[in-house]
Amino acid sequence: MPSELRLVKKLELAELTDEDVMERCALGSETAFRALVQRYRSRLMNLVCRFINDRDRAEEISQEVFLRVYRNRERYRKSGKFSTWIFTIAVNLTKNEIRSRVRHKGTFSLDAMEEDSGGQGLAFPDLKPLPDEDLNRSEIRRRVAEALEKIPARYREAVVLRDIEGLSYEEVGEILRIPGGTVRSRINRARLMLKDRLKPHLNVEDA
Amino acid sequence: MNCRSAEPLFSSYIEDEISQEERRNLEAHFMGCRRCSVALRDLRATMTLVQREVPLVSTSAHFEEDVYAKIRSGEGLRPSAWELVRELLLPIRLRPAVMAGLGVSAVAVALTFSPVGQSLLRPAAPLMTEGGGVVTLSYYGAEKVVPGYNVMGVAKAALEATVRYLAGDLGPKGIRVNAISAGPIKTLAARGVSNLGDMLKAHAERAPLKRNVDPAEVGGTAAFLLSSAGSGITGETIYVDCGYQIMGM
Repeated sequence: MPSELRLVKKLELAELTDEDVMERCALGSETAFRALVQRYRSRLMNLVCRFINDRDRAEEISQEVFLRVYRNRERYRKSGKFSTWIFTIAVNLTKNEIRSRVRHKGTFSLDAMEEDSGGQGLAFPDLKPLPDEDLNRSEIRRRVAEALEKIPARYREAVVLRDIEGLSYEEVGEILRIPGGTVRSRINRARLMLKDRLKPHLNVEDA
Repeated sequence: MNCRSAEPLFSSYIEDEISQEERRNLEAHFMGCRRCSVALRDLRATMTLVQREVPLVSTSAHFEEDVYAKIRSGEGLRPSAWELVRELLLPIRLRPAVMAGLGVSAVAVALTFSPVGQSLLRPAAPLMTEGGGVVTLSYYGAEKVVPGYNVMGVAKAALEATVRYLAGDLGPKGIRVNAISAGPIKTLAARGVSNLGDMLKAHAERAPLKRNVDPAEVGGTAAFLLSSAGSGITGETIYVDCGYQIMGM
């Protein structure tokens, strides 16, 4: 394909809605799939990171989400919003991750570590952020991330989807498979919990 | 309207997704309740703070290439074995605590509505048309008090009694039911017991064999009980505990 024609195609793709791009992807267009990866990679990465606060694992999970989109591309139905579909996949994978973490809390496999090291012997890395990274991150951002991490997962999911991803109450309910009333009460509870945790950092004047 | 009924409406109020009447009632409440009006102000500030200050993370430079590489190699296209099993088990995927609770209640139900065998082993009995063997795991906490073992002791006592009643009910069909009462073993499940460390230590000190039991020894006994070598044993609780339970002191 001459490069000009390719450019035209690319521009066309950029104007299409997510649903239309996904439809092309379902018909076998690799370019369309690439466009979706580009559109959603940051959103997904941020979403997963909010849920589990572990960058490396969040990246692996986000990649897995795209692989699932690709694997199930023919099963996509245009009737629903693409973003709801992809976020549902991400939320389910993240829930599995959280569940398996709870299950394996306080345990780790020496064999797996040995394997990871490629027979180089075991290493116990210090996973705390490096001092300079720590300095660069502003204190308040750290507090916000920390507060989000501390509230129970079912509240965190709801508030992240609503306040950080900016989804509607209906979409949040669809992704988390909970009824509208529950969505509302979870989001309200989550915000109240965050308020209590972030109170010392709120920039309000006492009237 | 009081504070308790006002609080659940805060978010809907801020987002203006509230009926006229609720809005009026809420605003009347805010006029009279300083605590709630401060809470509402703080809630607004929190929402702004979270939306503005949540740290953004970016994907690594090789993110997209990794995805395409996995697709090209075919690695990313095959659902993993675990994924398949998980999909199959999806409806019955329960949390461990629920499973434990179900186990205890199953025992309780079985004991309440005897004949025990018909309720508890009903799914297994058709598979054992030519007789068979069932083995379950118990622990000494079923008969004597072990600090920290708590309600599990009660559940294990019920389990050991169930073993005897099942053996009685299923004996005529040639099905044998036995329990192994093993000494403490450091497994993932055992970590739920609060003072496992003390249990292991006390056990190794006092057992005649002066050590803790090895998982392979428990497995060996189960194999024996299920094999023809154990064909004359049913309704029994066999100790695999390095002799711990015979000691008086």
